[in-house]
Amino acid sequence: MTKIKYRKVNYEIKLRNKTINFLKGIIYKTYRITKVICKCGVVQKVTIGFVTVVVALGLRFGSLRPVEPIIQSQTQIERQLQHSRSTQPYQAMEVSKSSAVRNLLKLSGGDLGKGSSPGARARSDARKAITNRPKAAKSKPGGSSFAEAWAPNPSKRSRSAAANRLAQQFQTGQVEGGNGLFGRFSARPTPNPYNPGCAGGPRSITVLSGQRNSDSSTNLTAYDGFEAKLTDKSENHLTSKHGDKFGVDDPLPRNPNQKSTKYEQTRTRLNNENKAKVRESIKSILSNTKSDVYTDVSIRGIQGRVYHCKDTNRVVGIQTEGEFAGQIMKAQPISERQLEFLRELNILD
Amino acid sequence: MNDQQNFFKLLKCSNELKKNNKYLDKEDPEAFDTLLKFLVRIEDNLHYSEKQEYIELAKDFLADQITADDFSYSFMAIYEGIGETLGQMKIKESLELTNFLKSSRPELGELLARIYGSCDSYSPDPEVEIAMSDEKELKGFAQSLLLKLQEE
Repeated sequence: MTKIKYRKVNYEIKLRNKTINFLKGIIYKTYRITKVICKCGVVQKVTIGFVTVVVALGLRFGSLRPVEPIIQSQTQIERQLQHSRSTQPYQAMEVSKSSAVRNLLKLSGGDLGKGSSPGARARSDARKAITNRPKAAKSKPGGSSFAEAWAPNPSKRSRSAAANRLAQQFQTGQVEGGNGLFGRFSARPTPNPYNPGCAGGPRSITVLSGQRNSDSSTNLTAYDGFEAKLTDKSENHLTSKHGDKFGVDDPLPRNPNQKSTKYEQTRTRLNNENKAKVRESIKSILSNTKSDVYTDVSIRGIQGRVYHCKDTNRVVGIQTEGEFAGQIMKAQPISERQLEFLRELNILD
Repeated sequence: MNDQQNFFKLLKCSNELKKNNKYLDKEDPEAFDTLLKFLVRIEDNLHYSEKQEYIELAKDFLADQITADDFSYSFMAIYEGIGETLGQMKIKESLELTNFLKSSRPELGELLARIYGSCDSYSPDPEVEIAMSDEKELKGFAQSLLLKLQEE
């Protein structure tokens, strides 16, 4: 009895000593690393910090690598399942057909959360991707050209950009949308309510109306589902020319050389706030279900589509042909004569 | 019923419908077309009544006293200003409108609408995608406008 007690105490002492030695080692190593870093210049310090963060992110998100946003091939699932089979005791299964995969994934069952193994999480993610696929397709009516655009949220771009920079540094493959050194990185897409995706993992993408793109253009969707793009330069042009007609009261000071007349020109100041107001006005014309739609309109000789809001008597013209097809080219008040042209001749000059 | 009575009847009807979130063009497209024709006639005459503003502007531009950019903004200011005046008169059902229900000036109205379009599409920055007109086009229009207004 005393012998057993002695052994137990001895074991505890040994364990404590080992723990202390381990902690000492960590403290000593940290001290050494800090000492080395202290000798480095500012640039080197920043680089070290950056690499550390990226490596940490790589380790954190590397585990999400197995699942593609939408499973394109069953071999992909097979590979994942085979991988999970090798890491976990799991019965042999045939996964050559998608239905079989689905049934099989149902068998795995249970809510596989954060605490589950990578293999189990892979199966869970694959199941989510399969079950969400038809819903994701439904959320994209009309097969719009913009809806498929990979529109990263600028505020969430840093991770991807950092990964890309690092990938270039280490000459690895493409990171965004691919499998780089640190696993799969992608710009976080707009959440699709029909396809929430897995935690932090891939999702299907839906571009929402009014969303700013990386090139500072904006995609707007009309009430009838037609999609148009408002580029930054066009937005500047329209804000400057018609800002005062779209609810912006911020004119530039009058040019001293300008003649004083009854009707003085108004140039609206270009800033983000004013541009946003004009953008919102354009958006409201397009989304107003009472707006009249004129198709096959000649907008300065180029085929287009015009939305006329009768409440405000403003029009928005979108080109549907040519180099700038899909772009908003006009956003202006409309006179009686112009309205007559539009109604009778399908012309907006 | 003469033009004047017919016009005010249609205008009143249109305004009443608008108050109820309805539109004459949906309720009675034919009546709307008739009203629009009256309004186009009034608008053309309103523009003509401000012909001195247009003439001064065109002259300054043709004499290179103002830039094409200034011409575009100033022209749009006159054109839109007259449109706003008409809008206010429509809401008030102003009797003053009868003064402009005279013979129509379709050629002037058409020319002004085209010049407006050209001014709207003008930008000194050639990289602006929606800049579809240039100084040459504006000068040509200024010349035509001057001739048109001086002959009337």
